Amino acid sequence: MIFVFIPVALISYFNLKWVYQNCNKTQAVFITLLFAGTLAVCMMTAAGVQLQSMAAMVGDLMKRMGLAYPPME
Amino acid sequence: MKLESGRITTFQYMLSVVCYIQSSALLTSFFTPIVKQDSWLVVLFGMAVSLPVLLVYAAIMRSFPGMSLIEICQTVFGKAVGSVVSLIFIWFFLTVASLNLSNFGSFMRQAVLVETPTMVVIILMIVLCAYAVEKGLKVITRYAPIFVILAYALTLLGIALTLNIMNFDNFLPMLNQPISRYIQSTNIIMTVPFGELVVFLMITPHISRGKRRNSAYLWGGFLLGGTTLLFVVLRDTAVLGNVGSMFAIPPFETLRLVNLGSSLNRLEILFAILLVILLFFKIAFLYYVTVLAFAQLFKLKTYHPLVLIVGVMIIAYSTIYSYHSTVVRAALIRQELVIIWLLFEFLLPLAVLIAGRARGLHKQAKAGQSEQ
Repeated sequence: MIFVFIPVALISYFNLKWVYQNCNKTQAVFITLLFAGTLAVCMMTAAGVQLQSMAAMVGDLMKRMGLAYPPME
Repeated sequence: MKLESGRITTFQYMLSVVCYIQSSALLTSFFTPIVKQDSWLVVLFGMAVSLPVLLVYAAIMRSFPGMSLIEICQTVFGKAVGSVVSLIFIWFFLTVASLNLSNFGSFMRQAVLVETPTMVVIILMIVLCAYAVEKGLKVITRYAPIFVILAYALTLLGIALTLNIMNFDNFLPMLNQPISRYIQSTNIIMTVPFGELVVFLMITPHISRGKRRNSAYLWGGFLLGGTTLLFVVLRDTAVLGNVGSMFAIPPFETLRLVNLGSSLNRLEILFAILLVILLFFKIAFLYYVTVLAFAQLFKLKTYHPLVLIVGVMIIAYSTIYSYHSTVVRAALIRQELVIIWLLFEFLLPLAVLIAGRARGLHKQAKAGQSEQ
């Protein structure tokens, strides 16, 4: 986990520093959230949590609604 | 203010479209198991069905010449709705980039570097792509002509060297399968390589003016790329027949069969090298488009601070897809995602075009462009 945390945290630190110096508050908030979300997903993945992708979730929903092609024979 | 200062020529643009389509040679296994010997017909059907989709893209390019897709969405739908639509498009770009990266990792693991962990290959690819994205659009598209020539050369060489093992009876019987299979396969070919050309609407403002309209080069790229895909599928069907549907990467297996004496064999490694090159182009382009879209959505002065973090996002997202096996991922794409992709590749661009024209915004956009 530490090998994932260190590079992502370093990238976030240097890029967010630039963002806070050059962007307005709204932009900074959105970009910070983007970085925080990415870091959280990376940490969860590194911890072994098997996340479900949004595309797979939408795909499951479509399958339940009957809006999918049948599986191959 | 433009985030990207470099402009590419119309020729580079056209060959980038060709390169993008050619990189989908890995993905023929999505539809070959469904329609087997009729796969080549499905490529033709897919090209025909994609014509209205490309007409929509061409109309958007003509109506809003100096704007990218994200800028058009925000102009046409307003700030709030436009931002939501832009976010939906960004998710689409990110998902396509991640799926391609995931497919690349699986291919390397299965065919080339069987003992190297997939994550190592994926990270190395993203580092290389991040360097290209950091340098800008010109660098990403600069080598597209060379990649296209290499892809054509290998396709023709493959055809020439497999002529002795081709069996043209493999194309028979024709059109003897349930119509639902043709519909599904046409949907796959329409959405996976051809419909994904929607990403090129992001770089419309960065194309230099050529002798013809920019949309003409999109059509040229589509025809050249589609023809390559058709040749690849024809060759694979003639060589492998219905057995081809059992393989994960039919073109790779076809070239594996080339054996002209002891000196000319194991040509599949050339395909592997070419595929890595083409996938590098595709992933770098999708990565660039995602970064550019984020920067335009957040109205940043430069996209550079987002390059590395978007790279991390693409790796994380592709890791999530890598939990599924290649078979499960292919099933997800061919059964469900191809239907969802219609929203991003046809319905939303059509809505953008209709709303923009209804509000007369295309006249303002054209006037603004001619003033520049």
